[in-house]
Amino acid sequence: MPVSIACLVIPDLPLASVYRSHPRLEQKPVAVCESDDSDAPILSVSTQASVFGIRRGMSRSQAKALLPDVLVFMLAQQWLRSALHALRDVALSFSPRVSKVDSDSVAGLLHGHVYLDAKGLYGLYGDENRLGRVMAHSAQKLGLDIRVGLSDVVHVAKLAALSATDTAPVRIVAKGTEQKFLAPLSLDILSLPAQLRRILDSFGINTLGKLASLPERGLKLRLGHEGMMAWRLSRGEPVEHFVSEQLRESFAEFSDTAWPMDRLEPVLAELEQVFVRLSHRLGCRGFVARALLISLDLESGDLWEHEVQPASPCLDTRVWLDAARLVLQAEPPKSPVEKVGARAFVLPARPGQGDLFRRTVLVSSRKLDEVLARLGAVAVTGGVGSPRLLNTHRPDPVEMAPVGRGGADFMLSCGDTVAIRRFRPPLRVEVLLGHGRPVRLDSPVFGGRIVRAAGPFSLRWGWWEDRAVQRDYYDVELSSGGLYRLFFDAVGKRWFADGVLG
Amino acid sequence: MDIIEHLKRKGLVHVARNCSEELELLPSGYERLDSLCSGGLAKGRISEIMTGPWGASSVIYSLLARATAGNGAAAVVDLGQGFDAVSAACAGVSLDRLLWVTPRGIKEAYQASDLLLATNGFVAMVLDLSSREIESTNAAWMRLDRLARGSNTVVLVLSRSGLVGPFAHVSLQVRRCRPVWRRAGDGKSSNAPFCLAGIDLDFVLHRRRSA
Repeated sequence: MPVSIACLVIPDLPLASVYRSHPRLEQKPVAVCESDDSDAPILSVSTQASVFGIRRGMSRSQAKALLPDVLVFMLAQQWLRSALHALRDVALSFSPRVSKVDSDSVAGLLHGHVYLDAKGLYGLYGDENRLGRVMAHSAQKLGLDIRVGLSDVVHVAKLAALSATDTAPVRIVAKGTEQKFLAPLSLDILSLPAQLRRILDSFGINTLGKLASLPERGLKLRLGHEGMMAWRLSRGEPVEHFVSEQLRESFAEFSDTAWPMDRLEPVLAELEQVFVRLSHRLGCRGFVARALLISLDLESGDLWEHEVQPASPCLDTRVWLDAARLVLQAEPPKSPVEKVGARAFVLPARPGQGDLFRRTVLVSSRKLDEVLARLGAVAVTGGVGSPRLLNTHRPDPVEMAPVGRGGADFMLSCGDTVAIRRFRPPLRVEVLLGHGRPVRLDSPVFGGRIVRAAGPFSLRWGWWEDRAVQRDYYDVELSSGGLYRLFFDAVGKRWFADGVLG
Repeated sequence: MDIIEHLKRKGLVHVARNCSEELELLPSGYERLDSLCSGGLAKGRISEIMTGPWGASSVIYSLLARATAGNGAAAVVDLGQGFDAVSAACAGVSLDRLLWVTPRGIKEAYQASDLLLATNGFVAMVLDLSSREIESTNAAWMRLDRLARGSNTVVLVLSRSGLVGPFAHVSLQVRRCRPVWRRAGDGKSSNAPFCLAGIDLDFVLHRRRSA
């Protein structure tokens, strides 16, 4: 019978969070420090750096002395949180029952882990091994190198994941084989209290197998509750239970810049990295972003925040970047940028089938949404949609509705409507009157003698408001052949051209 | 064969055409214009109308009405923001199947057209650049022509003077715009005021390419 609990572990959380934020550094010697101080201890070291003798616990200066080119990063809590949230996203993309994501230290190395209920997943993925590999692959897409452990016992699943390797990232402990699996493991893997560990060392106990072989009664008398807990853990007995938790979703990503940036392009380049990570996380969970809150930490200590809304919810980072570029160009930050972040407000991604409009347009809904969002970046504000007619007598009774929701929900009376192309806003013109009727039209763009004019057609609207409209419309034909619709604004006492007829 | 068809649709593979091959046409609803274009505007090609000082918006609305009839969708890239939805609705355009885009500038208008043509989901796309004088850029038209050929969309470009040049399958100019005036009411009273009852557009063919 397949096992029921899967545990996903990020084995070296500080390093993984750095690599996730700076994917290009994966082949470079990297160390992660607790703080900016020169004597701050190193928490994590990449393989490339460890080759040169750099070890955990060394100070930053010692590491630099061994290898001047080593890249030393300060541990950023935001990066850690993002990496843990991404790990939870991976788990949630497989199962709705997921535990709280947590970080823990084993032998001085911080790791992040999350449990998920794997029951019912085998119908989709086959066996445990395949499920684990798919999970690891899915995490890789989000920039995480994880290990997967599967077992029926919660802590055994975690220990299985911790004992997995780079080459074999999935470890399965079948039911009934827990003790056999645990026996050769070092006691270091349990993170026991220091005093208990010293006592066990003095007994010559250094593996879980040796601990499990101790008699229960004597152990209880000598080592108390903590000793009993360790004993039960070493025997693979269920000590903790799987608890699924519904947490508030947070889709936020951040990036620390190496130096304050005072140009737009580097800020956008950082933002692109943030967007890519965010987009992968949303994609993995089946969400799209309806809006993004971009936040920039400025050198002056101020926070620059702005919400951008794509014309249509999407996952396309190019669209997000175009929207961010427009906002940054319109309202540039007042001082150089030190940190870049983005938070996504999400909607469930639309399934493949759409409404009538979307079926008509022979592209998938997602593709159409992306196109609409990209159109939003090249159009004026609110300049993408379907025109909707308003049931009113006010001039130009049109508003932009979402695509596919245009039209009129009333009976439109057309009569002898002549097609017009409007001037938006109406064009200011000079009109000469003869016997109370327009006889000549002048404007910077067109003009001439008016050979025939029809009108006036009066429009009185909004007199119950402050912005009353009182217009007298004329359709005029110029001697040059042009046909225009003019109106006299009785409120402002001025003439305007409303559009060209044709 | 499916792969070749797919690549052809994407415009990545071009197959030499038989000169006698006929393009699918979409009638504009304007008899004079359709007769000059052998029955309508060609799908998968760029057609251009040079409006001069006249509007020619009735042609747009008529074409869009044909395109949106029977579940089709159409798009208008409207540089001058002059599209009048009331006139369009009266001409029979289904506004709920119309995508109206108002780009910020000419470059954005080309980008919007590019995106829309790449979807290959619209029966007709009108690129209205007639609101101002624009300098022609061959590179943009070459790209749009390639995209149009990979799609099944009628692309109608409206410009003041010719913009599309050799990339236009058919290029027409509005020669005359004759207003139809009639007296209000039953039209018989000599004292009744005049009103504009319609406009009759006349076109002249500038250029037309064979299939």
